[in-house]
Amino acid sequence: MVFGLVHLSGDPVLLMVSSDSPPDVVATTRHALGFDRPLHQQFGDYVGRVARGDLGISLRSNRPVGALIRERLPATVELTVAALLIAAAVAIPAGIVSAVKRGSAIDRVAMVGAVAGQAVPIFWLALLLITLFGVHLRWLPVFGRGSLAHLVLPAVSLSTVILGRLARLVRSSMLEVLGQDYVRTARAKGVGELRVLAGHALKNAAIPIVTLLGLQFAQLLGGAVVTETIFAWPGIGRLVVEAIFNRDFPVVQGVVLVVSLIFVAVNLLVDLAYAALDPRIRTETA
Amino acid sequence: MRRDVVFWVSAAALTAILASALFAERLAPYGPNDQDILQRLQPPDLSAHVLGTDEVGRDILSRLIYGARISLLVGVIAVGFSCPLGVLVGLVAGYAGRRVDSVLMHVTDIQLAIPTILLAIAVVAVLGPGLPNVILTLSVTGWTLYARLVRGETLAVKTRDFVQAARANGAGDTRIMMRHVLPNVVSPVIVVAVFAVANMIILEATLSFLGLGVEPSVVTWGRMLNGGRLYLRTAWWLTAFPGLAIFVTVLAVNLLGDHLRDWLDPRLRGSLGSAV
Amino acid sequence: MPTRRDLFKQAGAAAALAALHPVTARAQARKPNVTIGYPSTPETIDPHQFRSVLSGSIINLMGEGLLTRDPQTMEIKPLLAESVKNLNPNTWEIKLRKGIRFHNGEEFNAECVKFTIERAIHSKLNTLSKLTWPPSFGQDVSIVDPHTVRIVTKVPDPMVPSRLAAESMTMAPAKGLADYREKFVTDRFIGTGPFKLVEHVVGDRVVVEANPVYWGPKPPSQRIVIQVIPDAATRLAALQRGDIDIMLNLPFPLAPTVESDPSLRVYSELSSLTHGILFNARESAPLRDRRVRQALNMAVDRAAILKGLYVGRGQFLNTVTGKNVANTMDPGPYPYDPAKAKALLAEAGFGQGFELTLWQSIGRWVLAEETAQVIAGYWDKVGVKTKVQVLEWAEFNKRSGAGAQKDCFYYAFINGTWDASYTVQRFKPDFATFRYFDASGDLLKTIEEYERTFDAKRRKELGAKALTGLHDEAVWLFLWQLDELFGVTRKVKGFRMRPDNVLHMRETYVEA
Repeated sequence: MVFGLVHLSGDPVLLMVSSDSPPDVVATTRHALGFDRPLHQQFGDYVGRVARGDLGISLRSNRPVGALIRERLPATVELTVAALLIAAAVAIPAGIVSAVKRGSAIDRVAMVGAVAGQAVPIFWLALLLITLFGVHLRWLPVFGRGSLAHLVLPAVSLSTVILGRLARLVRSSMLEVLGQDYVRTARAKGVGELRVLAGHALKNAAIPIVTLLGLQFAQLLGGAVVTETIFAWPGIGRLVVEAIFNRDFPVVQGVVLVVSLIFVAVNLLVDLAYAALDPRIRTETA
Repeated sequence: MRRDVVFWVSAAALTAILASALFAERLAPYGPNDQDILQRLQPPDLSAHVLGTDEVGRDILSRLIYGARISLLVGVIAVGFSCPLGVLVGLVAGYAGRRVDSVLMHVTDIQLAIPTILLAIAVVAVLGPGLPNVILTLSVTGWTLYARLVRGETLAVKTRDFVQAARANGAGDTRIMMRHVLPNVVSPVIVVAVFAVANMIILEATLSFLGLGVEPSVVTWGRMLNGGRLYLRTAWWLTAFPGLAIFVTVLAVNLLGDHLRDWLDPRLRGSLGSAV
Repeated sequence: MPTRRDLFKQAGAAAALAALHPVTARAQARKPNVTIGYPSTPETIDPHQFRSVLSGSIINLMGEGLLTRDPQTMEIKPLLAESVKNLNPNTWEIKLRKGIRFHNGEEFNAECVKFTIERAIHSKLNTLSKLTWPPSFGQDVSIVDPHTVRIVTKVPDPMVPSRLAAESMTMAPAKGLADYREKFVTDRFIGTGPFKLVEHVVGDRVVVEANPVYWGPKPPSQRIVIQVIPDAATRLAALQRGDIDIMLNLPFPLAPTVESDPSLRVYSELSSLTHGILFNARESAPLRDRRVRQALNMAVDRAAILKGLYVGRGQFLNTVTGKNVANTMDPGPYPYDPAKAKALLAEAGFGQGFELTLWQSIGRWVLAEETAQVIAGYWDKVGVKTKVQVLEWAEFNKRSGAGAQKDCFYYAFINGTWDASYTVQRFKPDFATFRYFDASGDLLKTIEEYERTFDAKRRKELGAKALTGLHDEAVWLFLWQLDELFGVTRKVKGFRMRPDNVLHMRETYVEA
């Protein structure tokens, strides 16, 4: 699919070669890259090469796409996981507290805060954080990857992409579960509040939360693109955006492929977690 | 429906924004693209440009008002396309047999496998920036959510009594889908759609940041936010007001959406309907 | 108020001190590293492949050509060559400097020159060098002795020294890159320059280190780090924090922030990019008439736009080349006179006005979209209804180069050979790209003669004549050259941008 898109966008060779180049250079480049062969042949070749682990050569930097991705992927994973952890660490307790203290001031404030978090574009927030913590207070570095300190601002910025939604979901899941019969039964039996929460409510609320985490991964990746650009984080989000602008098709294809694979893997994990958490589901999902 | 302060304030805000979108020509003191280089970067001044002017001398208030139109339009149209499409796919998948379901869900999964933003970037980068392409992008990336949701609900409803009864009475599949299944899935879909409009606004702003948004002669809040980013220190009004507008809109939509959901079906609080 | 006696005493004391510590009078403690914030990634460090001034500037640190340019005057000076002589219009003899070694220890000799020219110009590779010195000149390199080379061109080419001074003609080692005759190098750089490549992390940074056996003067810094920070606001934050010492591409709106910081300052030089709106005189009917084009020039208040949008940081352009380029001249501006513009339009038969489409690219040039809209506004006022259309850069550039933009479009040109001929040659009817106005008659003869002439004085005359002719023909809406802004900390010394936008970083250092 990406293949088709890529060729739709116009003759790639003319875009790569400077507009001043004499026609013979254009022709030679085209031949060297194999763009003059029929489309289906090119696609077939591509699939074959991918199977062998060869993702092609970047048009712009002349380095193998696989190597480029391998270099940049860990950075993005680090950022995304950190953001996920931060979001979870803040949203889950917030959601639980809100659910338990439903209707109170804390609940109101937390939920409005959650929505507010969703309403702020990430690049704006990032700039604010950089100016405050990086320039005025000088507590944290503002670009690049290195120490743990470098991770803070980008991960916090990125976490806001899913924080709000996660908190709200945790709250509503908990509310639903807390209203269930077995919880009321447990309470009536005199089981301690904390045990009720931890033992029953949480376990059952976990399912939709886990599902959401899986879905949110996509959003995180999307937010990573912007975050990586602002914080000069050397990840694949930035790589693919630059590649798209430079019409570096092999890189775009490679990244989309790899990211999709990762996605599928994450979704599988989510499905597995699903099944582990609730045996009833194992029989239903086919 | 809880009619408390929050509800009324949100409703008022959204009404104001809708009014801006609809009656921009009458409300705005200037045109959205009227430039006056000599008046650039004027701070807010109640006697002249109420919210100030931007880097080429355009009136911020007017741009904000006209911006409401496009920002909302983009969201509404995108949802208008993606929602029915997604609902249709979901209905068919849920109702029809295993194989159709399987195929359709695979397509959905494939698209879900590619992060929205990447898809958006790719589509816009290939087709070029501009209003119609942005709308197209947002539509294309948005339908999967409805499909999944509706499929789930359809599967659940399919086994219910009144559906079996209708089938026993000899009603055709399409008829059953339309008359029995659809009304039951409408509520969660509406809720999701409402939230989606708000998300589209943010997505458009992000695309604008990456240089893939609408063309320069079209004003959106996202574009205003981006254009003024470098002037944060020297001319705060360039970003503060569109930022506020986006914030208020999304906040209001979400708060009202919550109420809407509670009103339509209190059951929904626990299902995927709250996952937005 | 100190008396004269006091002042003398003070001066005496200072002089005594200076005499006792002569070193402190001059030398300042220096930091070993300089860090420079780049807006985008150098795409490659192959000596002949790069496409941007940013990359060329990095190559300039590590590699050297036969000739080079003075960073201030742009005068061509010998570097790896001792002398370049023109024996006859088609033949050049180059004597090479002796005792120079590449970073890999290989000796620099005639073999390397031949290898370089063949790789850069006559191989299959899509190099920048082919633009600087087209293969159509048929450069034939012969080795006379290990330190003498002769180059014969098929057609007389007075521009050879300019071409040899370009970064894209950096000398490469014949043995060290023997495997890279027909493929690009991605993982190393072997040059003769004062700095060696330490690491190149694609998309993130380039680090170079002083070359201990460099044949020329020792550079003042031990290491130069080029860090990529794409977002301008972040880059500025890094400068304010001291994480970087120099910031490239300081956007105009952020300049006040730098100016108000006592530890920073704005460094600016005039960029060599010449901005203008090109009229498609070949295909757009109204634009075929010179009067119409002149009217469009007179209808725009350039001063207001330059002051309003660019805070006055720039210089007007009145023909197709700007300041500093060899053989350039300034024929004087078209006045801002909308009444006269209308009169000219009426004279040309367009008293009722007409419609025009102005194309602009997105995000390529600073505030370009806004400029296009303002210009459209001025044209509207004299009856020319202008519609601004935008296109993203890759497609825009493709159409521009192919001569396909109608009716007119915004563009900014560099000058690759630092001679007016680089831009003037585009107006010949047989030029391969960017054909929007075909010179004819007297003007064409002038341009052709200019290209063939070797005599420096005559070249200047012909250049002036050609440029005046192009001004009179109003081939473009001539706009301006803008200032290029950098943010630097006050402790940075020896950093400058050459008039052709290449950064001169060899002598840069940071005071401790």
